[in-house]
Amino acid sequence: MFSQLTIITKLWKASIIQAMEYRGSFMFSIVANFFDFIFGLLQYLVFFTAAKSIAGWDSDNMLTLYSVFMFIYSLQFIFLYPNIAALAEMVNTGGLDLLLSKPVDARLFILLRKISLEELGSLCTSIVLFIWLISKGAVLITAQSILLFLISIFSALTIVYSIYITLTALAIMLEKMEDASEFIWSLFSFCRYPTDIYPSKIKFLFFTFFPIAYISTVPAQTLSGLGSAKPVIYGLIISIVSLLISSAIWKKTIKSYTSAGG
Amino acid sequence: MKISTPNCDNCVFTEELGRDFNIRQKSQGLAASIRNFIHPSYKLVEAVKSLSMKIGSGEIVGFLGPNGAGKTTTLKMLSGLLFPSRGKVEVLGYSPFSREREFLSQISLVMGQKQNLWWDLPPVETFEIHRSIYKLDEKDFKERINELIDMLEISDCLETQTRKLSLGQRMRCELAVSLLHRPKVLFLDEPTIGLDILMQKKIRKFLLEYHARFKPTILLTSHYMDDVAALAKRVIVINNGLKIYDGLLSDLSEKMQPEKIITVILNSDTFPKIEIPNVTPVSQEGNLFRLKAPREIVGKLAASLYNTGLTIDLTIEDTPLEDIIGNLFTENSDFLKFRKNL
Amino acid sequence: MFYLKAHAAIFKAYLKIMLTYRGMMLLHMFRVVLMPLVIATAWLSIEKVDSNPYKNSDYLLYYLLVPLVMNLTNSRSVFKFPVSVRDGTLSRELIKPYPPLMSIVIESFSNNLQMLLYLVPFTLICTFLFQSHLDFSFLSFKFFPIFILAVFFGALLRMFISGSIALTGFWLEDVTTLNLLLNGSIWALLGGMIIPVATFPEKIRHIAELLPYRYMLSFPIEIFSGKLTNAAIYKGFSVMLFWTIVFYFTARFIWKRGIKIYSAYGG
Repeated sequence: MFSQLTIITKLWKASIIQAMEYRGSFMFSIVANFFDFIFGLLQYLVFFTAAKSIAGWDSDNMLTLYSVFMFIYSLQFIFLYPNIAALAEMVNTGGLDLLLSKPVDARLFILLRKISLEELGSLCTSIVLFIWLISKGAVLITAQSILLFLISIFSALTIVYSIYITLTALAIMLEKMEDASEFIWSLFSFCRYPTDIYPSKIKFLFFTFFPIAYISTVPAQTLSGLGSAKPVIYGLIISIVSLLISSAIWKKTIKSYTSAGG
Repeated sequence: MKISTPNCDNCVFTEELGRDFNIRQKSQGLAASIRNFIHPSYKLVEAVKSLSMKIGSGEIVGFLGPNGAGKTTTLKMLSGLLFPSRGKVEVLGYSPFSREREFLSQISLVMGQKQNLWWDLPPVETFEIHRSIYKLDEKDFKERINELIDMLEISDCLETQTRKLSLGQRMRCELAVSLLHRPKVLFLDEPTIGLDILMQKKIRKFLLEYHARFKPTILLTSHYMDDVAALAKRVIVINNGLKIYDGLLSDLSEKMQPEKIITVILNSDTFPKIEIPNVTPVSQEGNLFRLKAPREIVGKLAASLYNTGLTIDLTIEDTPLEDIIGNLFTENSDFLKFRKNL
Repeated sequence: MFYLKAHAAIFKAYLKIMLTYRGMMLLHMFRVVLMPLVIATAWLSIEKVDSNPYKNSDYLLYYLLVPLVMNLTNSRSVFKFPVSVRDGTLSRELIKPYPPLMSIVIESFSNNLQMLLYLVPFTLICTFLFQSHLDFSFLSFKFFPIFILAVFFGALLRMFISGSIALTGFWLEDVTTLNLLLNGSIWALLGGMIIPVATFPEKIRHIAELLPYRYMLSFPIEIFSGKLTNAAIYKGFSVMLFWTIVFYFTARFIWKRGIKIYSAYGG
């Protein structure tokens, strides 16, 4: 495990060096992402000039949701997204075959070999926004809410990671690479708003089989005083279950991929 | 605009043609990366320094040189993809970089590593698109395409999606597409790269046949010396952006390689004593011996070896072309002397 | 006009390719309709401020049309062109006696057109499902040709803006960032994707009406739903034409500069 991590950090270092080669692009993308974040923020502000609240969420609650959403979103963008985006190339050029022939943990490598610092701007801004919300008193700070928040963030990241494993596996199995990154994009467009806006049947789906409620809504709820401890516990259970299921799918895929001879 | 009426003798003409590139410098490691990030340093690389050549219409010329010698850069300047930094260039009487329709309709560039065919469609579809791009009329098109299909033996892969074709099939379809408008000048950049020997031979045979029929001017670069040897009588050798040889391939090998290699199999492990000077041993594996000797005395040497009565088999060959060309680029080679004497 | 036959041949080729990848188109459609669907749901569950001119039925109609207009004005050149610079496809195009950027434009066009195969039925089904919630009293057929015209110019405008961004691919290794900056959230905000421009606070609305983004999405829909006065329509078209011309020349300028320094790699 440890040696795997050292290899991965080396790969990350290489990614960063590579990104810095294109120095204009590199600086520019960080700045651009910062502005993109600001425009995203403006959306909510303009939104609330036409609306008082969305499904019981006022503007402070929505800003909390936005900062949580952007935090998770930029994390996955930094660590996971570049890999799934490069998956097609990897399969077409035979890179995947080469990788499977090496003595490394293939899953870890396929999912984490590249890193993209572009969303660093958004990540930092989301943290700044979060701190600002705390200082403004817009966020509920108690021992219980912090604990629940941390648990729910952990579940959120685990669920996102599991979704990535499943998608990567499916993409390899179905040889439909481009769609995987499209799917991620679509997935996160659900997370920009609280799941409370949906009809109850769809909401139920989002809390169970398609567990995106736990990615942004539930963590934001713990800090807004809008929810209870229950969904956080469910979230933890569901995140572990999804990790197990995705691992099983992964194993099956690799087995069938290698036995099909690539 | 045509610069001049095409001079039949100079279908391709360049004078002191050169092209520079600005290359970012980069040393290894994260720290160097950061330093570079703040203060990037550039280095001017002269990919082509100064190249003058004249190629007559209907000639086949092999373009030789090690990787990075400036071959592809030159081809790109000749086909109008790259603006020269200095010098004159004229192809068919046009300045390539103006990219006029008349000019583009008369040339073709085939790159072994790049695709002209539409990846997701069968080759016939690409043929059809090219027909309308080059505005060929139905009758001409049918005639030409059938001719090319016959010559290239590709009738069986026309309806298959390009991505599903084998490399050899794809390359042959690629050639068909590139020749559809019957270009007067054909630039071939590594046309046989990655193909197996059999397929290489097929493509060579096709190109010779095609050239015999339609007499296009062909400029060819290849890693495989056999390609060049089979197709081109004349070669231009460049290294570090400079022309170092321009002339007949046969002259090159004769002058460059005054020695031949003799392989003998004897019925004994010891080599008999032979009173001929200038013969150098190369290697021995059991009863198989290799020797090097100047051209003039090879005959004498062979005769005296047979006379010993020990010889089972004897072959005489030229040094492989690869070695000759390789020699051109090693410092202090005989070639430098040879050049001085020219 | 000179290349009409070649245009047609390339257009047909792209249609064929897309038909082979029908499944993928369905997924693309999913992506196009998803975001408007989510936002529409959000708007329907809000508690509105009194000054908001849009009723639920207005929001519904608006977001029913968003996918259609968004798709029709879409331009994929930002993704295609830089790739063609990097992998040398551009070189291939340059040595053909055919306008080198045309096939990218045609691909984008045929893609948008083909998407209608899915989007039109989708919109019709949704209209049928929600018909009791929709208010069609505003609709007037005389606005329809103007709507089409607005969509056409909106598409042209987007093509030139995206094209200008795409063409910076001559210099930039990765234009997605520039695209994100100029065509990302700012487009979603000021174009009327997240919030219909008509419901913006006064000051921001004025800014939005002067910038090009509104004309690629909100403007045609506002025309369709009869929400604009004649004067507003004339003003809108003038602003739209102004930007179209500006970006046409911008794209041309960048192309001329870029092609001069374009240097295919290797040597």
